[in-house]
Amino acid sequence: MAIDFSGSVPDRIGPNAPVLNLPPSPFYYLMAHPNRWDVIGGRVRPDLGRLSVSPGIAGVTQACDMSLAIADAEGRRGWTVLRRLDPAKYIRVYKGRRGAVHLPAWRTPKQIGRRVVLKDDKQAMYQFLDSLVSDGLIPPCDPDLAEGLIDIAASRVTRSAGSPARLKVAQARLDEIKSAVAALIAETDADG
Amino acid sequence: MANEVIYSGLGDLRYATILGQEIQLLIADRANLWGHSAIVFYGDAGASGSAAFDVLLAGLDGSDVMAAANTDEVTAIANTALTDASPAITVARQALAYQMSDLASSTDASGLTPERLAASMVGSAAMRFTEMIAALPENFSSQVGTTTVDMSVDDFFDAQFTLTQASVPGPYLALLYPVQLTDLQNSIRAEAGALQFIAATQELLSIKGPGFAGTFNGVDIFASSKVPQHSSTVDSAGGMWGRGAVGYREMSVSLAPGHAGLQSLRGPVMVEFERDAAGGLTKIVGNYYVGVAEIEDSRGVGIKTDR
Repeated sequence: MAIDFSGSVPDRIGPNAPVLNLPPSPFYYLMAHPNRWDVIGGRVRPDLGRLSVSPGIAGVTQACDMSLAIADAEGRRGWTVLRRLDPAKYIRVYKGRRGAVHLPAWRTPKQIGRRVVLKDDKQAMYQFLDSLVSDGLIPPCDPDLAEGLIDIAASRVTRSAGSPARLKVAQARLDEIKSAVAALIAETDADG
Repeated sequence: MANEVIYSGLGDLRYATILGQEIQLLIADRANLWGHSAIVFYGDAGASGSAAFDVLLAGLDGSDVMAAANTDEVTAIANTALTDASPAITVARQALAYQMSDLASSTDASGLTPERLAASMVGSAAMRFTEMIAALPENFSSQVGTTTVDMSVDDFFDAQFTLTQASVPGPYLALLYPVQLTDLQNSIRAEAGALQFIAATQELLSIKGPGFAGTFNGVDIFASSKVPQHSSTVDSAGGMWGRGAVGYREMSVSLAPGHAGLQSLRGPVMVEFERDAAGGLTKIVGNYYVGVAEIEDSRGVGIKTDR
C-alpha cells in the first residue's frame, strides 16, 4: 500500500534564524473571578486573571506543580482557574531570543529591525471572552454586579466636574457602561 | 608633493579599530524593588524543613467586633468563627549562566571578565525579583482604570480611594509600566485647582529614569518595564498596594565546607565558577532562591490602562 507523506516547513537555523526580540514569558492558565467584569469593547465581558506556570510565583513549585497555586487561587481568593480551556484557544508560543515567549492567541508580534510591535486582533479577543460565557466555562455576569460599574463611572463623572476635558471622557465612559449594562440586563431577562 | 605619511598608507602600522578601555552598560531597566517597605519579607527558608511556607493570617485585635448581648442579660452568646487564612509562598530556583573561554577572558582589556560577569548576577537576581513581584497585581480582585484609555490622575485616585475605603494601612506603593507613568504625568500636567500647587505635583513632572519616580499624595510611585501586559486586554497590568498585600521569602544555600569556586554576593544570591579545563572554559552560574505571593487580596488594587 502506498503512503503519501507530507513534510512540514523546517525552522531556519543558524545565527541568522529569526528569533523574537522579546523577553521570555511562561505558559499560563487564565482565571475568572466572579467580581471581575468590565466593559470591554462596548459589552460587559470577563476581566480575566492569569496563573503563570513560573516556579516561585504564587505558590508554583520548582517542579511546576500547580496544585498549591490552584488551591490558593480558587480556595482562598475566589478565582476559577480555567483548566479545561484548550490552550489552542488562547495562547501561542514563539521562539524568543532568550527562551520561549507565550502570548495571547489574538496578539501577533511583528519584528521590525530589533523592535517588536505587538498587534492585537480585538475582535478575536472579544469573541474569545464571549465564548467563555457562551460555552458555559464561566457563569454570566450578575446584573447587580454590572450596575456597580455604573456607580463607579458615575462617581468619576462627579469628581471630574471641575475639568471639562476629564468630564467629557468620564461622561463618554459612563454612557458606554450604561449602554452595555442595559444590554446585559436585556439579555438576562430574555434568557429568563 | 609626494610621499606624505598619511593614515591610509599605514594599514600595517595602525589598528583597524581599537576597543574602548571601559565598558558602558547597555540601556536596560535596572531599578529593582528589593527592600521596599510595602513588600513584606517573610524570612529565610534555609534549614526550615520546606520550600513552601504558609503565612499565618488571623482576624485578631478588632477584626471581629463585639455586639450587644441579649437583653435578658444571661443568654449564652454564640461562638464566632475566627477568620483565618494561610497563603503559601513557595521558594524556587531562579538562575542564569554564562560561559567564557580562557582566550576571551585572558585577552580582555576592558573589564569583561568572569569576575565582572559574576558581579553582574546581583543585578540579574534583583530584576528577576522585580519581574516576579510585577506579575502579582494583575490578579488583585479589585481593578481600576479603563481598558485602552491612557492612565490619568483619576485612575490614580481611584486606586488610592479603593485602598483607603478598604482600610488598608500604608505605606502604599504604585507599580506602573513606564507608559502608565508618562500618561499619569501628562494628566497631572493638565490639572487645575488645588492639585497643581502641591509640591509633589511639580516633582512628579520632572525627568524620571526607571525606578522610583517620586511620591504623589503619599504613595511611592515606581516605574518598571517588568510590568506585564494584561492577559486578556491590550493594557498594562500595573497596581497599587499597601504593606501586607504581597510578600516574599528567600533561601540562602548551604554547601559543604571547602567548596571551591563559590562567591556569594548577597545572601541568597549565590554565584559559582565552574571550570572546564578540557575546553578551556569558565562557567559563571548565578542562583537565587526566592518565592513571591499575593498575601492579602483586599490590600491591593490593579491599575489597568492603555499600554
